[in-house]
Amino acid sequence: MTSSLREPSFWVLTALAAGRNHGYALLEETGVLSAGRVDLKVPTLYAALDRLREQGLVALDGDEVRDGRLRRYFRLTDAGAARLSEEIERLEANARAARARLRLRSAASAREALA
Amino acid sequence: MNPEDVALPPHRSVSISLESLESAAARPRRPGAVTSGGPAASVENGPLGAEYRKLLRWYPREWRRVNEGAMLGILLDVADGEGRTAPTHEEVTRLMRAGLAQRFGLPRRGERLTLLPLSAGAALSVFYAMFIIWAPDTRYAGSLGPFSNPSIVTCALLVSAFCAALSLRGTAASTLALTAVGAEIAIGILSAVNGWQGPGGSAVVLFAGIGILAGSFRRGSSLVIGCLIVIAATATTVIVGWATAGLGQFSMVSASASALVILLVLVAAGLSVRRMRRPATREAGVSSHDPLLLRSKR
Repeated sequence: MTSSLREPSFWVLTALAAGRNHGYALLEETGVLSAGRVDLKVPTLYAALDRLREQGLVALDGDEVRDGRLRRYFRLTDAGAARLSEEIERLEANARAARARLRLRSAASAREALA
Repeated sequence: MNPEDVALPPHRSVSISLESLESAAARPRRPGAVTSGGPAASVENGPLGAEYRKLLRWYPREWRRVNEGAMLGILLDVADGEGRTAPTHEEVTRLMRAGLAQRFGLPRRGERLTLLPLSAGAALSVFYAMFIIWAPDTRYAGSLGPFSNPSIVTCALLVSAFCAALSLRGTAASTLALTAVGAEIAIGILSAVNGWQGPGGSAVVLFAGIGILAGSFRRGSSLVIGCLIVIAATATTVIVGWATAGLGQFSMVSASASALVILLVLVAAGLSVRRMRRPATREAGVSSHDPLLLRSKR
């Protein structure tokens, strides 16, 4: 069974799902996508990308120089897309289970109120 | 944030993939790109760039050769975005920590085997402190408190390193273990020069060797080779000690022979660590971290 993705890795893969992107844009996108809950720093992002690249989930997609600065682009691999889908299913299953339990609790509370 | 998130992956065996090199070279650049840039592409510098470059020196040279330009680009973009002209304290700390993590390849979840040398170092330290140098009733030349020689400092450092590693403070563990190496060598030299009760050459070699293995978090075959070197060096020192015993315990011949063995074990351990860390570099003249040129053996 595959272990769950860490949150930074999850958001990096999610940010790359829409297409190739460079490091700085990934930093910004992970913040926006996670509604500010994940505030990745540069060394952390690089560590996550290194790890994801080593696992074959992310690949390099070329370097470009803009305004004298090197920008390294990354893209989601097929394995990365599959891994992200798997993680989404796991999260959805978790959410379904939690929601079902909450519904039971609400029903029990309602019965107690009526009794 | 999970502290493990800054732990970088260990160096892995890699092989050259000419296909990936060719495909990378043939890949069309996206519109809007001013220049295509390889790992060595130049980036804008300036005072802030120079400051970041200085901070990136915490990372190993091979890593910087491949990644420095791209990392510097992001750091400068972030600084621009925040309207800064200097690195923040948080950035300084994080870069230092991540650089050291990359340098020493800290253990990750599921890689507890890398703690083996630290465990051995801690066990040896406890044994050495309790049964070898514990002498509360006798004063020897070089005694430190109730211990017959100052190697208790090394023991304390190695035990602290083990405790730090258990709490996943890899950088602290590595620093403590490597400090123990320096401390034990210094104590060994002082002992030989001043004629203290100890530590003997074999103890110095054993502690230094285990400290190096523990502090560098060796894995796999690198760890096995390192252990064999430490065992061989310790055995050699013991034999040298026996052979020179007739010349007096603290004779210059014995001290010089011990110092030579210590030097050899350090050089051998350093060379083996270097060789195991960068298997592809020597073959291709490129870094194992360059994913454009190399493909990991999975």
